[in-house]
Amino acid sequence: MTSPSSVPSDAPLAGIRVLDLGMFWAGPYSGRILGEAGADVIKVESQRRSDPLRMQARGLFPGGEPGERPWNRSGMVNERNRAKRSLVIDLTSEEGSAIFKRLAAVSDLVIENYSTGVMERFGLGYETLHAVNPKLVMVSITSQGLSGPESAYVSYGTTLEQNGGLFAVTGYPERTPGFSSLAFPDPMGGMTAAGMALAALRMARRTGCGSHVDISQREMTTHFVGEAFMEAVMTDTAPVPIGNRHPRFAPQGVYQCSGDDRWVTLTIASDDEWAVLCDVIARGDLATDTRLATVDGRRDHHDEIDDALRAWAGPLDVDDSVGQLRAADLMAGPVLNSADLYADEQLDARHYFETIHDPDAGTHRYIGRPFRISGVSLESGRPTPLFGGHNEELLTELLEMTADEVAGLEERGVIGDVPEGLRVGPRGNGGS
Amino acid sequence: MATSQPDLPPAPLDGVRVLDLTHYIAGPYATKWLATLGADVVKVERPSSGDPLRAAGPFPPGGEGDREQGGHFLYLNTGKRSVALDLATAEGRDAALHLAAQSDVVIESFAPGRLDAFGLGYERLAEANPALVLTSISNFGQDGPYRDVRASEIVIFGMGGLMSLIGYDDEPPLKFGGYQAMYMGGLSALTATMLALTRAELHGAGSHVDVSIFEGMVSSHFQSMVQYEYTGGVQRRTRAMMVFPCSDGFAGLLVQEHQWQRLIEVLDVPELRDERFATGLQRRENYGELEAILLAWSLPRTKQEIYEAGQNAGLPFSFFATVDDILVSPQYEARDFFAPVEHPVAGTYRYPGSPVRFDGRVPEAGRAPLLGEHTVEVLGAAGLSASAIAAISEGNGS
Repeated sequence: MTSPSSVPSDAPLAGIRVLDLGMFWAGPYSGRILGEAGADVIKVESQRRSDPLRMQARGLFPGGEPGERPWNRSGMVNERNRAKRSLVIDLTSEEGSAIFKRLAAVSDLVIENYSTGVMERFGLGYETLHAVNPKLVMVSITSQGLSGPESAYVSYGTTLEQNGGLFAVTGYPERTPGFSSLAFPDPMGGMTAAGMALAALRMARRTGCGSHVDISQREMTTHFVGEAFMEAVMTDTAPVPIGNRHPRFAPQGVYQCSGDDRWVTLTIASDDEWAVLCDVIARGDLATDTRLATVDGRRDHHDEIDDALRAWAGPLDVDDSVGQLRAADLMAGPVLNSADLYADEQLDARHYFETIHDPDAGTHRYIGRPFRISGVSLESGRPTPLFGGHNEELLTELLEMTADEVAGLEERGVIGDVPEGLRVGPRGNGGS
Repeated sequence: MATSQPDLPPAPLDGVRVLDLTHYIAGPYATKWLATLGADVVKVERPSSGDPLRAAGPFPPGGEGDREQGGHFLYLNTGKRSVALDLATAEGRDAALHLAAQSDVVIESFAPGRLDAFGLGYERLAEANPALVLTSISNFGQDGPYRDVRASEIVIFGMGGLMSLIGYDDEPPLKFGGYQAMYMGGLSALTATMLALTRAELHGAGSHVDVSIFEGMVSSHFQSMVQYEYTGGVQRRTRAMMVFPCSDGFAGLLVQEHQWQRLIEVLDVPELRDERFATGLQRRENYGELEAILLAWSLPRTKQEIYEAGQNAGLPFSFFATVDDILVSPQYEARDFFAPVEHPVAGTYRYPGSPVRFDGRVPEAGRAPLLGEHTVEVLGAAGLSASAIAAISEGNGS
């Protein structure tokens, strides 16, 4: 098992230690970003409350097989928790809570995305941890933020898309709002938390005093559609979903090509581009149609233009249609799915995927991150840690416990390496 | 974040100087965050026209087409200062190099290769300032076969894989509204810049950060990616699950397997105890019947009623919030999320504020700058000669 001693000393976050209590997605993702940049990130779980994605009955397992230790084979966990060490400790026990405080004393950052109030119930609220380590930064990622009448409300990334306002501007006009299983506010929350943690750590270095960072995922979702709110307050008219169209440019849309669910996207951003498009699709009659000469006119007759584009794209292979449009220097592209992306030449050329060997899940290509930093490798080569895989290493290294003390903790069930509440059947299926 | 009040601790990025060469959406979103966190962000704009987003609206009544009143620009550029510099001129490039030498961070979002063409590429900037962080934001990254492919929001969104997962199976793939690819690109740039800045401050090493908006999208749907890698299965868009019309809009009743019993108690509809709906698998198989029962329950109720009924029982019920719903939300109100921002030309409006608080403090946004508002002030403080400043200002026609 590789430990952070292999991290280069000039890695961006070399020397920074993080206690990552994150569950599901947003919290764990922020910890992964920091771990890949060289921080010593310790994923803290308990046997009784392991990351719920470890234990999903319909989890995503390699080859669809849960295997002997399914909790170490969950794709949802393994994609988000690389470059960390694992400590499994019962925070509901007094002994476990005390050990966490000792770890907080030798750490720089705590990240958590429990529901509001859970940390306090563990006896590990910010005030308590701040008293133990005044320089400690704690980042709390919650649904609604730490204050306000709805602070105890719960959500998933998918439901935050709804009440955070993303679906106020997303959907097919005149239909029940569309649906996304993407949980987009979760990657948003994870990326935000990593950035804010670094800002707060900088402040702590300068002032000697840590802080409690309060991130509301619902407000973050609203922040991502901020211009819709500007429109509402400035014009007294709130925007509504317009499907795949653009509020100013026309035409814009997605058009079906030949084959199984293949589509081309297109944006025409000027009158000149419109003339070029008419040429590409061999519709000189549209180019000379005075009703369509201006963007306002094209918006008014968008349905008619869409019909022409559908007729053009329908028989074409998607690569052919994209090729023709790009050859004319227009903005167009294919709609890609996960299989396409694993074969994508741009991602390949930029070494976006990282191949990692995991002792329980095998060797796989995992997604990378949307940035590179010159002179720094952000590829850790380190898989998601086995559940409880670093218990002894961490307790002896960081708290100078003896092997006997660690064995005692294990006997009393304070630490462990098998989660309780296994909900995986012997024939768990791989799909979802 | 205001830094002047003596009784408050310094802002997180107090003392950090940022030269902002970005325009439109992704870059300005990144630097909006840096300004919110307390950095001194100097935005370089082309004289006369400025950031093209200035012309995009939405505009207040009477302000149509005014480059000082575009709402999207005003939102994305809070807390920055504006310097009008023409990078196509030697004087403009010299001044930019001068400013870069005194900055901790330079951020740019030109087409790849353009900064080099201006003579302001990473090598040149690092020569002047070895600890500098240069962050470059582009559609597909600074290299690779797609480097020079032109793209819009919908093009990147579609290529990034999210679009194939949103919407109904009997409709075309659907894009999220607004500019989610651009915002995620900007957010990624913020975090990457913070990583590189931390390295510069801890280890004295500058670096060039290369942010790809496309990769920002690919990095935002973990489940479908790992599903394909682990099982070969390709996830597709699907009909709306557990979304129901109610008396004044739509509500979401999505719950996890272990929460189903509690949902039955909250809804108090005896039919839901039927064996046909006992497990998640059965509920999916009999979704048509389930949908009819839940629809009968949701239709007479308001979205707020449904939201509270679930949440009071600890269930993650939600509702499809309109923009107006959020503007009057008691939760947002209690956290002062929308705060009035005064602007000398556009007037005073409530802007979306910061979704992040430090020790309970809401960072103050400030307002967006007028085009070139700080040209003389910034260039003067940077030590440019009066004659150089005069030449640049005259060139600007200001």
